[in-house]
Amino acid sequence: MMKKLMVLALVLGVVGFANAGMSIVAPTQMAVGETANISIVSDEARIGGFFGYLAIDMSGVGQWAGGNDVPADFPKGPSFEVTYYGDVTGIIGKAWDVWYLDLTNPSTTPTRAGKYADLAFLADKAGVATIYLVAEDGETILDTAQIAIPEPMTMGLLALGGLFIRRKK
Amino acid sequence: MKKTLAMLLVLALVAPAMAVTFTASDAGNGVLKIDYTLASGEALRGLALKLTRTSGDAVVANGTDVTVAPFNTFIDYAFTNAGYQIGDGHPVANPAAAGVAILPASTFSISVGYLDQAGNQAGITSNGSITVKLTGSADSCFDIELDTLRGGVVGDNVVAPAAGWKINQCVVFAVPEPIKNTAPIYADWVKYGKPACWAYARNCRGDADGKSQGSAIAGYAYVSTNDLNVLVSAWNVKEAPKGPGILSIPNGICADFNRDQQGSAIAGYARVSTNDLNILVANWNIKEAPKGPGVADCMNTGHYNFFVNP
Repeated sequence: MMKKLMVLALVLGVVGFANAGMSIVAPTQMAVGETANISIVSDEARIGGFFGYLAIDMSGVGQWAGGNDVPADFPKGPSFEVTYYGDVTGIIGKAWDVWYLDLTNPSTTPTRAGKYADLAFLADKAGVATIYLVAEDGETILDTAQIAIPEPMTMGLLALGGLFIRRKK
Repeated sequence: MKKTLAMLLVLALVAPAMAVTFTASDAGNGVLKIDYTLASGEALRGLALKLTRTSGDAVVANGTDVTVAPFNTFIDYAFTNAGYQIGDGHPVANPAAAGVAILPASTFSISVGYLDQAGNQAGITSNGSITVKLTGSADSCFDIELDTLRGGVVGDNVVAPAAGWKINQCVVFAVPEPIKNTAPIYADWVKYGKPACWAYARNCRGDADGKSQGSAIAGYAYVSTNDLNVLVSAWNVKEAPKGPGILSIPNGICADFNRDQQGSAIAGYARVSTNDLNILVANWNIKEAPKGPGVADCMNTGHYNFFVNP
């Protein structure tokens, strides 16, 4: 029993280590026409902060809604930049719609853990939106999030079903 | 028919007049190369050339610095050394008298002969080269002429160059550079104007200015706030076409500790970014002895001939 627990602890430790770093926090489901924030989060303090890209796979659905926000307590470095670059297919050969995020800070004090930025995302039609957090090299995918966007009719049925269940109670 | 005969006659007259020709070149790394070209039917048996430095400081330091194969006999060496055997010694001779030269020498003769030990005494009938490895620090030039004291060119059907023949050849001595031209960072070092700071002993460890900071009380550290300031000034400055480039920042390239750029084609590339900061942080305020272990120099990267000081 003890052995099993130790193995489990080891596995969890390894998984925890593998997941350390930057990640996307996003809703798993959105309604058509809904806008939500997609967050970039670091689970550890990072020397130099982060720079890279948040990209929507253009073969899916949804689009950037234009808004972005960086928390007030985030230490913005001298090159701080959050810029919408749009379709970069012609530059890197990947059908991505991207934001460039220079959230770096040249300091010997690590940039704090937690939320680094929010980007507004609009679920414009039904399907599955795939969002990537991409490293500075424009290629390495650090994290992926998928957002299901059901057909409005399906959403309506789900809502009705919910009401029906409540009435029965 | 008459015309053809006349032409053949002219050719017959011209052919014997074709002399051994000598050309010289800088073969790199301080080597002066002399090529000889023989006409058809010429067989070379002996050769004596005199070299006189006309500028620079290069000398021939050792007899073995001159290679002359297939010539195998050194008459002047035999003159100076009793019990001579074919193949012994070297060809560097005294330009003013019989015998070997006093080395190092800036004026010297190359005196060689060819003895065919198989017994047929065929002589040298193929074109060849003589190389002279020079020792010096400044670009140097040499007059090359026949050594008439020793007969110049000797052989069968050999026609010597015209009297007074002389050529001048210069050899460039490369100024030693701190960064090896074989190092993977060399191309970028050249691209960014060969910044001296890249050759500071601890630059690759985060020391942008090549100087330590601190005091005798707390100790001295090579990687500290002055270096961080250089890094901050150059932080994420994009190269063209996305930005003005690192050379627009005074000493900015000195904070490119990892000698690489970061970024992508989308937003551009920067020479100084998080990878450089990581190097700086890894060595941050590490005190030199006796207050601390110190920061190792960059020699173990294998990229350096020597370091320079700021």
